[in-house]
Amino acid sequence: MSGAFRFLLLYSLKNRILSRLRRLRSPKYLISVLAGLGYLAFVFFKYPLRAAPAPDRDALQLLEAVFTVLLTLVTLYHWVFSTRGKVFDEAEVQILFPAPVSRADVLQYRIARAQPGILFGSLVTFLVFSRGGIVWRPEFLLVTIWLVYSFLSIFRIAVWLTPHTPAGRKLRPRISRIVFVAAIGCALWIWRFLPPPAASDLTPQSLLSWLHLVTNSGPLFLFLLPFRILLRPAFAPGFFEFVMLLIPGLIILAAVYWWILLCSGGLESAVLGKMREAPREPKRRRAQPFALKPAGAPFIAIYWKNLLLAGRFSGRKAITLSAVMVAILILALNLVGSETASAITGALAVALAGFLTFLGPVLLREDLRTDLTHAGLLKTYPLSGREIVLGEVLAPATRLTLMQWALIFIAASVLPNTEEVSYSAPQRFYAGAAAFLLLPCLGFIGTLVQNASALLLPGWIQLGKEHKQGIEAMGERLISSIATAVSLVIAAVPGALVFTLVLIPGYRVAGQAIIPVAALASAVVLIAEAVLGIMWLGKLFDRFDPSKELDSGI
Amino acid sequence: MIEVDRVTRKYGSFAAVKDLSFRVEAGEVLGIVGPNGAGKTTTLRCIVGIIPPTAGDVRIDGHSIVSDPIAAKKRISFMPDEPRLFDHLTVFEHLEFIARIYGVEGFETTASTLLQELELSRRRDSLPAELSRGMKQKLVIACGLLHSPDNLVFDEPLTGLDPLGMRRMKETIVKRARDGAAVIVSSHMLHLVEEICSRILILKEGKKIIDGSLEEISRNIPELRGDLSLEEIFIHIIGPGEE
Repeated sequence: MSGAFRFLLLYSLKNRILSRLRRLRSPKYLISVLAGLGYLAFVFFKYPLRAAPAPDRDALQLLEAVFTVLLTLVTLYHWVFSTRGKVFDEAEVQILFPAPVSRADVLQYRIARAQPGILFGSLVTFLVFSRGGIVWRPEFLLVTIWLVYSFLSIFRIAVWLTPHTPAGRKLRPRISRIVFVAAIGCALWIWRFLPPPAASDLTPQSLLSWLHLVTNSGPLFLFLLPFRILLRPAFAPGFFEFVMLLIPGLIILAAVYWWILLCSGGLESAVLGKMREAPREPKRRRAQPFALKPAGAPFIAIYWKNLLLAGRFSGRKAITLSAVMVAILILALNLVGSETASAITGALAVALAGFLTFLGPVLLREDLRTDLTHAGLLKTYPLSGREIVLGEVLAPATRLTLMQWALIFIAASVLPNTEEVSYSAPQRFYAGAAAFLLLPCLGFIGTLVQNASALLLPGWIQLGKEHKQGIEAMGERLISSIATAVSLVIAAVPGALVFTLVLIPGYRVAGQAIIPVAALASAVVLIAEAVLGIMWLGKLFDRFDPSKELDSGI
Repeated sequence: MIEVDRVTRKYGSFAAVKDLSFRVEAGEVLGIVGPNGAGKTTTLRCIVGIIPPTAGDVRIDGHSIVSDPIAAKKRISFMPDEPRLFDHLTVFEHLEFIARIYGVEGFETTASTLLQELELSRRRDSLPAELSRGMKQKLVIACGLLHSPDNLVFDEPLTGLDPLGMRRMKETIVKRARDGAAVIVSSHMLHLVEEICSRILILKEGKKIIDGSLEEISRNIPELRGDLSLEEIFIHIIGPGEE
């Protein structure tokens, strides 16, 4: 890499850190940092970093199996979806591409540019997930997280470049076909030789043991091998073993880098790909979520606009992914017998609904996090701050609610009613109705928390549609998720108190039928909190000064 | 009518606009000119309510942008120099959106006329990414004119337009003023300001240097001959080293 690129990297990093530190002169940023550090200190105090004297070998093997499958799925996702998207920003394209530098230099710069984000993300992931001595040596885990994140970052660049070279254009469909056939072959082999535990024996432990067995035998072992190699260093018991396991991982990293250099001829074509594909003539009329009439509450216009954004920019991906997941589910139902599959599907639906309550508000961001870069425009509209905030947060909250309701419906429908695992119809109804009422309220409050952070700390939040994508933003996402989770727990306390106050005396009178009533009372409290939240955020938006808070000034 | 009353806007200790007052009557076109950093854009942003003034007030048809912002904003439109559009709304959807925000009943006819006037009819289903910069600028103008405001604020209105577009834009501004709108135009294109503005305000370092028609300004500066162009007056006032 040339000296100019090193200069660009170092000075960009230095100025970015300095500008973030300068923000600490503002009390709200300082308080946020102190709160974050306080939380970390509390976690450290409670769960100090330590090596596990003798970690449970079975547990380690299970962890390895689970993360190998996860890494494989993420890599496949990149292979399918990362051929488009922004790898270089506009300034880089305008300044670096006409410059007299080699393509290899530009690509090396791009790889190196991701490293500060990857290192930060690795550190945050490590601090969040390494408590309690789960591996032999925590430092090995940190290096492995860095290795995995670096692999995903450069793999994405390789996938983005591949279709833009003559050889890549031919090879990509062939590799896709091979992977597809291999995946089908593995599934058939599992179905034939390794059936999952019966519904009567189904526990998380038996399921994980089955997963471990499957990932370590037959063709799936070979299929997952590259991903297992990347993860293995984390589980090394000593330094020598760690180095020996790290070397193959580094070789995989080098191989992907070599792949990028081979495809470097397609760099300009990949950057200009989007422009080339831009249609000369306007496309046909695009579908809308609902017809927007000129009369009525103006904030509905913002809600409508954000639903359009969600549908046009993330809808296709979400639909494809959902279709793939449903296909896998149907395949699983057919392969393993309906009762076991129903139990797995129901448990997954419950887990996913809960997971979405915490992570959904972080992932669905068609609200002020996307629109605050247009704050100047929004402020010219004749709407109060709370109308704008309400219009902004409604779209992600609606999407989250629909997803949660679908998952609750699936769980309530498919959870088995056998002798061993019995969920009676009334039980399902009461629990389902309670979740139906409470999860959307919690999701809505989570979305408000995310929007509050955008309004309070816009200098630290990734704003705009082109927010930083990929693994480089993992650290910020994790911090954001923790902040949402902590805020949600705090926000849920009054609701939980009301729930308990209604449930305890009501249970004696009405039995389990009181559960939805208690949930309704709790939901009323949560809705009241949400209304207060919108009023507060409205005031924050009214006071929001784009010239001070945003780098663009408007 | 737009009334700017002793507006000051500070960024930290730096005052971008200092104690600025002026008013634009219905039917008048006020041109704001000044060197870079004079406070033109800050003034416009304070007028339309994007940023609050540190001191002073702005009234739009008598409604304060500070204490009664919604009523004030209903009566004014801002056309910024950089067209900022929502990436995922088509041309016509932008107009649908604005119609709901401002409550414009039966907007379809006005919208179609505006698109025709601005030569965007064939692009009504295009997304901003499919438009040239000039087309985006025209769309911003169509959005600004859709609710037929009585007060208009243009920041560099000719940027990115082709010669025909420039001519139409000038005609639009003059026609709106003739129909009774109060118009403010901020531009570095002094010939444009000279051509369409009935009054001119020169800003320097956040302060009003002079305000009046071209003739009045010439008369107020005794060392100038009577028939000078705005460019000559501007250079005389600001100094040749500034711009």
